[in-house]
Amino acid sequence: MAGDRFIELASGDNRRVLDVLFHHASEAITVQDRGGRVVYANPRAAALVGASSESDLLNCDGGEIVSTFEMVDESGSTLDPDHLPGPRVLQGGVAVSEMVVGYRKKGDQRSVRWSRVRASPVKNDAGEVVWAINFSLDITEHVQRAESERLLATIQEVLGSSIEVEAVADALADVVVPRFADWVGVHVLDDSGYLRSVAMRYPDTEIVEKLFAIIPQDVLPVGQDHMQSRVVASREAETLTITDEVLAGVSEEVSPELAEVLRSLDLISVVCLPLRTTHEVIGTLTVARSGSDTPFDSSDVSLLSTIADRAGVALANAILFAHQHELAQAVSRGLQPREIPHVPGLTMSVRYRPYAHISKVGGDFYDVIPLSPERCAIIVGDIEGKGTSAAGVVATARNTLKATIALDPSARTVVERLNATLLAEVPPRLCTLAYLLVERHGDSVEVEVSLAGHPPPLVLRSDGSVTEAGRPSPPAGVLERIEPFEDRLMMNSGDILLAYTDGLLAGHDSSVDALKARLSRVTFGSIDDLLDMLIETVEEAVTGFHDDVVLVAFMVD
Amino acid sequence: LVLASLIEVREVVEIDLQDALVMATSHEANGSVTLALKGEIDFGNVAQLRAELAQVIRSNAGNLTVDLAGVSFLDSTTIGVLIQAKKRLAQRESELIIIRPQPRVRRIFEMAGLMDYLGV
Repeated sequence: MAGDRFIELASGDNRRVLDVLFHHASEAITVQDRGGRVVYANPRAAALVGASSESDLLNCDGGEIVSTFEMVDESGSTLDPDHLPGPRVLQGGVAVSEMVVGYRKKGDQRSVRWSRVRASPVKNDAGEVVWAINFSLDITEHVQRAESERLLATIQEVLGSSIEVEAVADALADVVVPRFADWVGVHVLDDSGYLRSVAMRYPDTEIVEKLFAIIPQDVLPVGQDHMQSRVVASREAETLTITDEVLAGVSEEVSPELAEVLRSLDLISVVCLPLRTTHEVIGTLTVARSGSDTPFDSSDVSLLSTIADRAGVALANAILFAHQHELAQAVSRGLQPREIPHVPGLTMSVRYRPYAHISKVGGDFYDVIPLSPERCAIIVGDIEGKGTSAAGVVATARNTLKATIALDPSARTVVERLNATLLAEVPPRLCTLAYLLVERHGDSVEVEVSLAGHPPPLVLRSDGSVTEAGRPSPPAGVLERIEPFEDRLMMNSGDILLAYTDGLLAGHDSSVDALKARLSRVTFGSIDDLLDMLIETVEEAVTGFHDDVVLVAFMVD
Repeated sequence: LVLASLIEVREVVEIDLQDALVMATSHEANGSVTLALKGEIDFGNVAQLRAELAQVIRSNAGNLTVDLAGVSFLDSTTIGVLIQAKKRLAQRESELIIIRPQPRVRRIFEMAGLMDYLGV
């Protein structure tokens, strides 16, 4: 009977009562004598320290058992064995209240067990302490659960702190290494069917370089038989414990060279998990442990799965954002002309201030289309709505206008074609347009202005007067038929024409009259200065959420 | 019940919140509604107007009158929303009537060439 030396102090019924009490207690109980020797241990105590039976624990010096463990307190700092409740009771003679002790076998970094430990003294008739009774309750699961919750909260925060794919992947890698693993690789599926490495952490050794020379890690083709590819297909985590048998298989089926490298890396356990949203797998998280570490157990895999699921959502958002950003940029690049052609006899200047929304895709557009050395067409328009849905219509409107103008630049045809095109959209879209046909006759310039629901262009004469050009007419995309009025005017050297979208009015009391009054007062060096000044006014007047603004102006040389 | 429907019931609901676009909605017994708007209407709050108009058109059978006396500015997107409302009303043979625009708003309708179309 284990602990006989201690139990034999009691006799008869007392002894049997003690025996039952200790055997069935939910706490691990050990009794130390004055010298610190363990003279009794119940089965739970033996299990706690990994002894095969209680008797193994007996007659041990307390310090001896302790020496095979490393102990830490709640904050993770190393704990001096003399500060444990048992030794303190033996020294001080009074009961010691609970303390939380974490202990792990030396060399095993990750499997920490946690106990709540307290001790009480047993004194003889003379009042001297003869035994210390240690009670210790295993709270490992509780601590692990609390730790997981803390960890997941941290992860949520870390993953949410960036919207860039690489930054999210880096944050994920830093969460996993070194806490759970020595190696981590984050791969994301790209749109050509490759798993692209976006973050990686590994022990920095030459052997790793040898490994990467054999299996490049930056791009993994899906479909080939490797762990990541299988996980993408199955959507299930895969765990591999690397044994001599596995290495022999690698040596035979892949290459002895690879098996040799793997052997020298001393990898022991690999887990590959899918990174996914509710709809699809977007990549993989691969983690590995090496050396004297313990292989991943089911609780590790379960926690890693939770981490992978949260990371999957964050990564999917980041990927989506990157795509949208790219798309928006491509769209707005495509919507505005690359450069304004030089038109002889005119000094031309344009400004485009994008929509304030993150998409930067507004409904304004403009273009200058040369028709002959003496003649050009200018379009300034505004499609109802914003964002990607408007962008498609802007492209349609602009292309319709360019194609029509190339064939027949007359205002009537151009506006009619635009109207028909927009009415055919589902739902029909409203579009306002200022259409200018500019023709040089010697030193002067003739301009034909046609409007469709658009604010009137303004003509700044060299004498300082400001007049509206064009006559109001309904926008395109509303009525079955629209016929623009063609307003003709002559411009001479130094005269300026300014066409704009209604975003400009936001900076001018929302009224054309206020804009006219302002233009009749301002002084400026060049039309570039004039347009900069107008954009500045809009920026000062409208803070935050603002419309896009297009300005197109030319001065007769 | 029959009697009640014959008598013109006029119910005015004052909303007049700080940021509310719709100042008051008044219903008439024949299913016509007058919506009194206020403030500046631009792309920042036009979505609200779009939703209000859709709701009013859905839940009332008659003509819709939009009173713009309290509106100091509206932009091209707002005009688009009014046009959509007009089209939706026309589908069930009801009308959109726009009344009392301030001079500046009137000028915007003129500029857009839509005075006649929108029945201002």
